[in-house]
Parts: sequence; C-alpha cells; structure tokens
Amino acid sequence: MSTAQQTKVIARTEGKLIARNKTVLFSATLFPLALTALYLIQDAEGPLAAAGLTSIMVAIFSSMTVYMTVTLTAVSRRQDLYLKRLRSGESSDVAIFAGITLPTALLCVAQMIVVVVVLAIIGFEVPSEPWWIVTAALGSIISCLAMGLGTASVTPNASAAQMTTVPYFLFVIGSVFATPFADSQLMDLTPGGAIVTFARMAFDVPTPGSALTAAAGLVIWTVIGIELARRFFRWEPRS
Amino acid sequence: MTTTTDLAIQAHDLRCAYGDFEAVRGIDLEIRSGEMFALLGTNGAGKTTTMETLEGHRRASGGSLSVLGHDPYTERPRVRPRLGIMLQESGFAGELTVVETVDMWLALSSSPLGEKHRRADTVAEAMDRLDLADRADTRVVQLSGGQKRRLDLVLATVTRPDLVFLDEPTTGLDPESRRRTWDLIETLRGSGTTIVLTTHYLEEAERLADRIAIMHAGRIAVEGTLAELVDDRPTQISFRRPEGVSSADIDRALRTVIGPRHLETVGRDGLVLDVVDAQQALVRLLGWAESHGHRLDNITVSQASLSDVFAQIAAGEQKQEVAA
Repeated sequence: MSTAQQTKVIARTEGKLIARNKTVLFSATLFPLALTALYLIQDAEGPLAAAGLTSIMVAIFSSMTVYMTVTLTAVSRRQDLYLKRLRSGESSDVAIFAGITLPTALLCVAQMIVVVVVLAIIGFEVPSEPWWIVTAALGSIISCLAMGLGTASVTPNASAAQMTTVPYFLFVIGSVFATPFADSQLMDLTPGGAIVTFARMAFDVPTPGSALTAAAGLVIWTVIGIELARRFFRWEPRS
Repeated sequence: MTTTTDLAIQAHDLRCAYGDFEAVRGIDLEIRSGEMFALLGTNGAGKTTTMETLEGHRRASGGSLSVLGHDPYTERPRVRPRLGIMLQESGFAGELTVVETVDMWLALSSSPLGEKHRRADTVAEAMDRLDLADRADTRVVQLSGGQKRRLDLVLATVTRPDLVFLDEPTTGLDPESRRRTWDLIETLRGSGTTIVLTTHYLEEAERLADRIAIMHAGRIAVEGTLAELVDDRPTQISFRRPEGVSSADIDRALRTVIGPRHLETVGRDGLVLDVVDAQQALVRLLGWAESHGHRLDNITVSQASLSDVFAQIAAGEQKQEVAA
C-alpha cells in the first residue's frame, strides 16, 4: 500500500474526528465570518489597506487554524497513544504526519476561499497579481504545518500546548503588524513579514522586500519546524 | 534441529539502552514459527522494552535481531504487513465508532482482507468473533475497559498476520472475557500463527505457552518449556508437626531417614520439606512416622509451579540459567 493511500485513509479519519469536535467546527465557521466582518467595517480603502488586511487574513488563518490545531492534534493523538497505534500498523511515518495534518490544512484553505469569495461578491479591491496571495497562503500553511509538528515535539501534553503555541503565534501575528513600520527587507525572514511582502506584491504596492527573500523566510521556518520534529518528535508520551 | 527458516524471531546478544541506562543487557532468543512464547518478567525487568524492540518500535543498541527474516526497525515496511500488535494500552481515537476503527485499520493494511469489496464482511466477522457486534456503532470512548481490550485484539488479528505480539491481552478483563480471549488465542495458535505473549497472570502463561522466558534485570533468567522450568525445582511436602515432637527432633530424624534437605517451619506448627524425589521422601517420612507412632496431619505434596520459579527470580535468588 502506497504512502499516498495510507495518507488518504488517515486524513479521512482525521477529517471525521475534526467534524465531530464542536470546538474546532465552531472556530472554523467563526473565523471566516469574523474576518469578513473586519473587511467590511474598516474604513481604509485602496491597495495598501487591501494588502494589509489580506496579510492579516493569511497570518491568522494559518497560525490559528493550522499551527495551533496541528500542535494540539499531534500532542493529543500522542497522549491518547493513537499515534503509537497507527505506527504499530503498516503506515509510514510520512503518511501518519501527512494524514493527521492534511485535513487542517484543507480546512484553512476552505476558510480562505470562503472569505475571498465573499469579498469578490461585495466588490472588494481585486489584486492585480493574485498568485502572490496563493503563494503567501500556501507558503504560510506549509511553514505553520512544520512549526506545528516542531512545537508538538517539545510539548509534553495537551494542556501545555496552550502555552507552547503562544510564542510562535504571537511572532507570526506580531511580525505582520511590525513589518510596515520596520520598512526593511530583513523582515521578510519573519513569517509575518514574508506574508506582507507577498500580499503587497499581489496588490502592486511598493515593498522593501522581494519574492526571493520572502520565500526564503517561509522556507527557513519550514526547515526549523521539520528539523525540530525530526530531532525531538516522540510517538508516545514520556513515561 | 531448528533451522533458521523455522525461526520467526532470532535475537543474539540483543541490547537496548535509554541513554546510559541499559534496559536489556544482551539476551538470546529463538522463537519458532507457529509457537506460542510467553515473555514474563519482574517489574522493570526489560520485558516491555524487549517487546517494543521485537515489534520494531525501538532500535536495538546492540546485538542482532531478525523478525520474520528482517530487521524489524530498519526494514519496517517489509515486516509490518505480517505482524499483528496488541499494545499494552489501547490507543484509539475515542470519537470513532468501533466499526469505523476496525474499518480504518483494515483500510490501512495491505492484506487482501482489507480490500474494499471484502472489508465489510471481514469487519463483521472479526467483531462477531470477539462479541463486539452489538457495540459496532458505539463510539470507542464509551466502551468499557474490557471491550477496549477486545477491540485491541480484533485489530491485532483481523488481518490474519503470521506473527502476533500480545502485550498483556487479558489485563482488566472479567473471567468470562478472559476465557473467551484465551479461546481466541488458542484458535490463532491452532491456525499456525506465531504468538509472543506478555502477561502478569502466570496461570495464563502456564495454560497457553509452549515455551516461557522470565526476564530479570535486563536478562533472561530462565527459558524453556513449563516442564523444563519446574522439573529441577524441589517438590514440597508439608504437614503439621505431631504433638509432643519438637521441630529439632523432626529435623534430626528426617536427616537420618531422608538425608540433607531443607526444612522450614510455617506458622506455629506447620512444616514444609523441600525434596527432589517426592515419592521416595514421602515413603520414608510416612515410614518414620508409623514406626514412631506419630500422626502427620494435613499432609500435602505440591509440585513446584511457575509461580515458585518466578518468586525465586524476583527475590534475586536465581542465578542466570537457560534451560536447554
């Protein structure tokens, strides 16, 4: 059985578990609605404001829906010995990681699509080069997936996850808000700065950053997450 | 003579360490195909670490290990399709139903029984076998401890693997469930499946296992069939001390008629005599009592049991020895 087939089975099961978790379902519905409302109530207009709000959307969805959920899911499944169970079967490690994280990533993509569709309907500012938003979203989701697994590697239990996820979450959101003030290409190396640069490029707003440095920023955080997971991830709780 | 191809598991000088602490300190194991092998051990003996290493969950820190002809850690994809593993603790997604759990497990296996068109029948048959059919649509989180153990056993055996690891399969089960689990394990063995069992219930090992190993302090203290393990242990003859006869008098008398042996006083007037040849000792003991006009009340003869062997090892009295 291929890794892709195993991933599909595990992801389908994880999807069921998410659908049966009222908290996740509630937040998955609430966030798109709240963010859409944010777009509607703000007064600012024009490409700069649109780029700023798009950056916030990508950062919040990827850090909350993906990063925090993946960390909590991986830690909870480990605590329940569900990961050990999966590993006692034929599934490869890659299939298990991909299977438990894929539904969260898809949920995040769905949330973003909902917001984009609603904004298109109400006639919000349209990006001139939308693929940079797609790049920002995918890059941010991937780096948050990796950092989620990395953070789960150093998180002993589900309660602790509420604390261990705070620093990176604040870092992502904080760097989104700080980037316009810093006005430096170095900010591209922060996860939020990279998102802001891509969003500005999408709306054709001048930026000190570049696609290359922004991509490098997201790759760096992806590599850090993967390396943390590779070195420290455990399949069962410490006894 | 056992050839390599007859062996499901072969370990030589197997070692497993956690940092500086060596939990398994060089064990040799040969488990034959189709055999039921019980791995017992005192607390902290290294039994769980050994099991997890055999299952491929841990990398051995030394020695060699072959499970079904492969290294279970580095060649996991080749070994796992032929293994069934019943974990010591459940490890289920509590919000899945019983039938969803078994269905997912089959869908993740490369067994022909997991093919889509056969899966529903396989799931139904497996749950019937362990009396879980009426709980099919119950969420796992709502199952009792015993039902979870049965579900564990379903997952370990539903793909009909060649080699099954059962880690304390009946812990937490009521006597009826335990009996039904034993029946299933015996059926598995009857079908030629190799089974490695760990348990805290010594009678379970006595009843089910073809061969038994007892671990102590990271090493295998004894290994062999039940008969091999208990045969060279002394049989115990116990009786009540006759009135008017002191323990010292009896000790002297028995030394004369039976020879050097171990005599222990139990309670106020109970005596326990360890002997190698129980029949000869009993005849001489009764002869001595008859000739001196003593009556020996509450006389019993008990063969050494696995429990005695285990207790000796746990007490640290047992030198490392491996029965042939």
